[in-house]
Amino acid sequence: MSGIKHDGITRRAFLKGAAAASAGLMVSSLPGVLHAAAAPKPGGTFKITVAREIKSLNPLRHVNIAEYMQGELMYSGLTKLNADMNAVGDLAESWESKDAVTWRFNLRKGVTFHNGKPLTAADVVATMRKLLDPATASPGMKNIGPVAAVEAEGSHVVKVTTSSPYSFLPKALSYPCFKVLPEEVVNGDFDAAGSKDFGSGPFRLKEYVAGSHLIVEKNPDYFIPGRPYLNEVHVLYFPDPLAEINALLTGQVDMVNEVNPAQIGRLEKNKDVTVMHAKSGRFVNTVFDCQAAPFSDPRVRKALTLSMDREAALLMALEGYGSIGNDTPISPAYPFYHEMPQRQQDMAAAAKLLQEAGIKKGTKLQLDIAVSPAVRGKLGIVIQQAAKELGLNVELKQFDYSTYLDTIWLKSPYYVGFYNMQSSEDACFQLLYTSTSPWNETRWNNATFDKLVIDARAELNEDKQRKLYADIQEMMYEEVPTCIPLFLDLTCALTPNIHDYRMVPRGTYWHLENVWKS
Amino acid sequence: MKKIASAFTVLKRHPNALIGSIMVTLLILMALCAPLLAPHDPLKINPKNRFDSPSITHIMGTDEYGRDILSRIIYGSRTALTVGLSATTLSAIFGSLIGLSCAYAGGKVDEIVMRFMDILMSFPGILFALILLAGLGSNIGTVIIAIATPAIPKTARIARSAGLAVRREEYIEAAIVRGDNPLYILLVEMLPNTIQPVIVDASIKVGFAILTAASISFLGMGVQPPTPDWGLIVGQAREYIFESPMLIVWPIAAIAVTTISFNLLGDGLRDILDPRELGRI
Repeated sequence: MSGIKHDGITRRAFLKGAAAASAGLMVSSLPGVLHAAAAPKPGGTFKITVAREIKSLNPLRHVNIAEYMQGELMYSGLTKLNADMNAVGDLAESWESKDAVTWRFNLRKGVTFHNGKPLTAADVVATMRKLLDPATASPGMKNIGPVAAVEAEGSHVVKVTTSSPYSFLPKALSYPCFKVLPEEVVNGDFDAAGSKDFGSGPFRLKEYVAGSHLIVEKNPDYFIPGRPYLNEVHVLYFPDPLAEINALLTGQVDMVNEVNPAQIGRLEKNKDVTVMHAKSGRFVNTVFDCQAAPFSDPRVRKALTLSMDREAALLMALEGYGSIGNDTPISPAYPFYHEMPQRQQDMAAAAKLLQEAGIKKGTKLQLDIAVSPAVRGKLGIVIQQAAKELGLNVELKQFDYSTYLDTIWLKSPYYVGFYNMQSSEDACFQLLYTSTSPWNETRWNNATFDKLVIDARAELNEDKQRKLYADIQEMMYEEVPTCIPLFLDLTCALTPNIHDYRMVPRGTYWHLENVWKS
Repeated sequence: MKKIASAFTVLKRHPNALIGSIMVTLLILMALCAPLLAPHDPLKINPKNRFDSPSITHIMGTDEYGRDILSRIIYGSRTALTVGLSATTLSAIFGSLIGLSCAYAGGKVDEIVMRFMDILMSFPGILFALILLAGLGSNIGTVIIAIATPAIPKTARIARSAGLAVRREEYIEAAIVRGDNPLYILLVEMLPNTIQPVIVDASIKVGFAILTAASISFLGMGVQPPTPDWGLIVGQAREYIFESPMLIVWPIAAIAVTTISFNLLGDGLRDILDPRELGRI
């Protein structure tokens, strides 16, 4: 089951990372890679479709996949995640910490912004402070780790201090909202970044039409010599999944960033298209409000969880392109995944639990669902039909995505959620399940769990840390604050003349500077 | 008996009306007897039988959840007819009342109400429906109101023009002089003499109402899954159009047949209720 094991990087090396500048070159022997038959050839225009709209060019305000892609194309962060979910340097050349509290990030020398200004530690510090400032209201504010202070030491060293030992800091700093802007923009006309380019990334802004497309062109002064290979990247917004696939099949575009599961079978039969999959930690779940009746009774939550036919859900909601979850958000794609007996459908046990909890037959429950992505609604139908066998009347109530965000998400007692893989186990728990997390949708508020999460993030001994994360996962498995039946695969489709594209399971990095077209 | 016999004689002379009425009767029977006719539970999912081709157990095959398509189409007639008939009835009732009141009152009231109707008429029906549904939430009641409301002005215009002709008749003048209650005059004197064009208009509108309801469901704003509804089935099957094209063909055929049936009936009724025709009975 644990197909992806921890990659054996030692703790010392982990805390002392370095920029894998050659990451793109040494990858061709690894699985999931398109083999580079020939030497990379510079030039060409690469067109990629995305299903979400770029609403702002300012990376500190980014919330969706399309915006993250734009951020990565035009900007650089301190670190990034590679295809193995390890932190690699972006602007940081290397970093070290003895106690996982005080961290020193050494910046690359000779990096310039697109406007020609050299990048220094002051820019990084100013951006990070801006990101952490509640007045900025950046979605990344709570996601870059427990950063207590950040300061410049000389022109090319950034010192970050965390409030507690935090071994995941380099991973957490890879959060896609954290991209470095020049100090004078951060402290000056910051809102200009919404429509202008202040980056130091591999590509420069050429054209941006809101609700339609983004065109970026090669940055000849990019800090990695010889990169990027591509002359231009076009990010095209396609709200309709069928139109997106047709654009790929007719040669209008080179890549579809995320393929709708219903279309994968058809694309895989097509020889002119390469379909790539990555096992991910992206999941779809049913959220129970653990403080609202009847979900405040763990027996009810467990009964509903036991009624789930996961095999059927995988087939119907994802056409089989995913894997079955075990009611914790940690998939085998995370290093500290803990294997537990797979929870199976057990109607007899579920009925017994409901009876013990005093839930009568015919009880009505309203399950709220956003229409996008479609997997939510499909899972809803599977849940409803399973609950029907238990004598429960689950009513599905659908909402369009923006209404869902305003009125259902984090508010409704019973709804279907959908989340991306996070940079680390800690990031995932801190985002969704601790009582102080910003998206504490289950309101489980379990003090023991909170303490375990804090202990685990501060633990520097890897074996002990692994044990703590195992305990955490077992606790979620037992108490089911949420039912996580499915993990989604990330699937993209591209034309075979695109080379060296590697999928990152987190789904928010593309490393397009390494990609070339023949 | 005599009346039924004479109705048949009339119908025989108007094949449109004959075919239309037979088909509409069958559709209504299908909707009423859906639990008896449907071979399977239309909601029952079955992971092992996804996208089955037509067979003896599943005459139209199965959908992406392994549900029997035939059963879903049969049950789908319930929402289609409920929405179509109630929306049309509502718009016919309110339309004719508004139209007749205007015709009776005349003057400023007529002017103001009819201009308001013009404003409502100039608004695209489906857009109006979508705005209403977004505001009030998606359920079958809202769908009916959302389809009925934009249809009111046209009915009101028809009823008003018929009403204006009647208004000048001497028996109405007599009723007014007699001091009859205006409501009585409207409902008992005027309505029966102006109802024919409204009925013809309504019978044709049922088809359009069903079509609009299907469009709303297709857009995901109408009745909600997993309710078997033709428009909704088309909307959901769109994703699988290459995998299983028949999934989309069946509900479209059902919508087309129903719409045509009501149009035939409406056309036939118009011919039959034509005054020149009436004289020949």
